[in-house]
Amino acid sequence: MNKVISLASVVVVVALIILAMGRVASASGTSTLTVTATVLGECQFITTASTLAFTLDPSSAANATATASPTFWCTLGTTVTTPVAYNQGLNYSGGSNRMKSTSNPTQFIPYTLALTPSGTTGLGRSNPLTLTVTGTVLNANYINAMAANDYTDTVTITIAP
Amino acid sequence: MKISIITFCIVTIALTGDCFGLSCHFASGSYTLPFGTLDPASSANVTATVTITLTCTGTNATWTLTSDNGKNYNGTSNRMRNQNNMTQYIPYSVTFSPTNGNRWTTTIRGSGTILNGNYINAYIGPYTDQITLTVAP
Repeated sequence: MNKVISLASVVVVVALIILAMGRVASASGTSTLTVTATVLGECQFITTASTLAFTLDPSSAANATATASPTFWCTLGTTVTTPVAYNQGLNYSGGSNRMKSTSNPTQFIPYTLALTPSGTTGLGRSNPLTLTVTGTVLNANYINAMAANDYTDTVTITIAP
Repeated sequence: MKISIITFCIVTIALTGDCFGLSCHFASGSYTLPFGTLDPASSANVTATVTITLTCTGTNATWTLTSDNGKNYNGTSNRMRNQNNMTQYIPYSVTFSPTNGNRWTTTIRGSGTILNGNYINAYIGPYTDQITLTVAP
């Protein structure tokens, strides 16, 4: 009888020791801390205003062009949306952007724009890209225009994303 | 007498995980330090915080927190790695407070910072790192 009790006690103690070892192991522990961030893909103009200055000589037989070179940056690795978009300006009509004479507000000269970025992959904020803005006025659209030095329009160019 | 104390401890640890109050462990196996969206147009550092909770049993429980350098340490800084472009990293720093305590101080605040200069030219996309936290004893 004593031997039976003694054997039972040993079994219980051993069981408790095994259980206790498991508990001790869990008394200290580890946990995983996940750190996360997302870098936004975007493009931003550095040059927020630039001017296209046409000189239109009615005696000329050529189209007139003018260029501007605003700079912009895009997040490293971002693909620049092309073609770069521009709006219809303040005097759009008949499918064309137009300049309007301030002194003779019934007088307009149509023009077109071509926008060419120096690259289509962003290089990061510290490494700007250049947008070459080329404006064209067709010869026929200015040889009979009313003389004035105040034809103007304002266009918004949007570089994305 | 010695045998009875040892037996008491074995029974107590088996039942409560503690003998004379030595047990603290993490309430969760995983936590997140979320910096959110990093806008390269910003001129500010970006910070994030995480609250880490311990569960302690035993009146005399004490603990010490340690952390490793994460999976992308470069010898100088902890870094997150871009998930789409594995050669791209963003350094960050993180501190924990407090780093030791007893059963009455079971909330640890983790505070992370990314310096503005370390993300304005960073590659687009999601970044991550994993730090292993250890609480002892």
